[in-house]
Amino acid sequence: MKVKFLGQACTLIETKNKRILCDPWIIGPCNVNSWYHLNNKISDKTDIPTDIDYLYISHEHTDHFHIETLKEFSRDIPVLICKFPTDRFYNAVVKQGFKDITILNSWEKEKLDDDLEVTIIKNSELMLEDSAMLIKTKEGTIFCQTDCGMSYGALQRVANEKPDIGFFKFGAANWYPVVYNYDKKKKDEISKKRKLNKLTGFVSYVKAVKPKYAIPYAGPPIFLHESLIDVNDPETGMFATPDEVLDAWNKEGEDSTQIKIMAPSDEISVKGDVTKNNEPVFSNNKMEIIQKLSEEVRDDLKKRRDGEGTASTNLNNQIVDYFDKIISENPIARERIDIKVQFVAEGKNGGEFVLDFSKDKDHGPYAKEGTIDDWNYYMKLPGHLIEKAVNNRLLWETLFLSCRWKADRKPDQWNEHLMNLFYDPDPKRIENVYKIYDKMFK
Amino acid sequence: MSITVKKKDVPKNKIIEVSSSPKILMVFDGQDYHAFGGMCPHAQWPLENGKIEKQNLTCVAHGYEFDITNGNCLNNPSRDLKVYQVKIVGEDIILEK
Repeated sequence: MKVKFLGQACTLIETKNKRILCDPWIIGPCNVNSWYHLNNKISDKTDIPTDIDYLYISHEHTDHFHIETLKEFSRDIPVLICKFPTDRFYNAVVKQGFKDITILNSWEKEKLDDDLEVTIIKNSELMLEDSAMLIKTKEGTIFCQTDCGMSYGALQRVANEKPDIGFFKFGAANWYPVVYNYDKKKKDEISKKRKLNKLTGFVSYVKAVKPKYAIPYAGPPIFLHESLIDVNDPETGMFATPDEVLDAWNKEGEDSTQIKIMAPSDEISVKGDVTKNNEPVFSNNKMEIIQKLSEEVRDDLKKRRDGEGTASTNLNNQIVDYFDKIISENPIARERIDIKVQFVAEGKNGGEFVLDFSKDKDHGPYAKEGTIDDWNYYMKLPGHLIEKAVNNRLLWETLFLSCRWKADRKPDQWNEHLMNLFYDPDPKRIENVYKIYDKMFK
Repeated sequence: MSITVKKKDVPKNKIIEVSSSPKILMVFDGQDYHAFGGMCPHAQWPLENGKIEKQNLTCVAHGYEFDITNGNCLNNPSRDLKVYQVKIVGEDIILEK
């Protein structure tokens, strides 16, 4: 039994009889032409292992559910996914043409053959849908956390299965503070703290699960567009490298687990032997590699971004109609969001909009063209990408994760209810989320 | 229902569990005693392994940060910690569950 690491959260698990590919993002950028793998080379189609028995896809984020990579696979390959509160991820997989989709309940053990059992584990967070996977054979047990936010209790349950190998996330997959209007000093301070928290998180997950071998993965992306090169800087940015994970483990880890550093294409046997096929990107060579890769992808990236199109002449109406609808349909969310948003569509056919989520505003219109001074959130996004989002052709989260936008907030605090609405404004989902939320927090 | 804890059992800047159900933790900052919920309201991680810096406690799992004097979550105001009132009577610390 062995595992090949293919970058970000992608692993190829080979048992005696079967090959399971998890979260295949292998080629091209993701998150609207923004993220690339933390790798010293750009992967191509020859790196995609299409001869597999199963695909497991943890969730909908495009660094896990990557359409360009998935195009290379037969639509007859069985796909394993988690049973989530909504069907939207299942529907997204169906939309890609896959015919054989197995939905597994969280913690339900599924025997794929006489010597292969998989368990998919749903995340603990209330407002988003994600999952992890545990693979058991007679030879050993492997845990892939992917991006999944798991409770301590869930990781202890994983520990009870005594994994030989665990792949654990260490990346900051978020747009905070990258897109926010902070001065450099404050942005650097926040980034440093976030990076430290992620490294502490990795150490804590591994200590909770106690595998024999742990591999840092689902790591930070790199940004190769010239506008975002600075955010990669290991000195000031929030995106860590595996050597920093190793340092954190050496300070606070435990002897019972050995950390193995793997670069994309490297393999590890269930006995912990690593076959090196590539060199990892470390903090001391990261920026040099990024400069090289940025030049390498420049023309392709420009072509991809040019191909995104431009916003329609009626974008403004689409924006007003979209937000008026989702705000009016979700009074439960509005009363919790309770802020005003200055929303700006940048570029051709763009405009400025006021989105009013005030809890005391009990009738529409909730969205209109214009500007206000007393906004709480300021969001400036590319108009052509907004158009895709308001037409359900792009997830807002994907757009936010791209870091291709600017934001500000007064007061300077996270509004999880606003982001929850952006995550999926379906009124039924919103209602269900707040039924649970109110039981937990009121 | 109340819980009584001896002052000597709560050393300065250490996180001490004073109740397991519900899980309640206590910290003595050198001046005051602070009692608060012991599970992170973000993803249900035990907070006794958290890191204390001044009056802020950071959860080791996902970096959620709390002001232990009032329970305020500094990352997300919708996920505050429950805090418990404490009363000092001689060498005892009494908190109401």
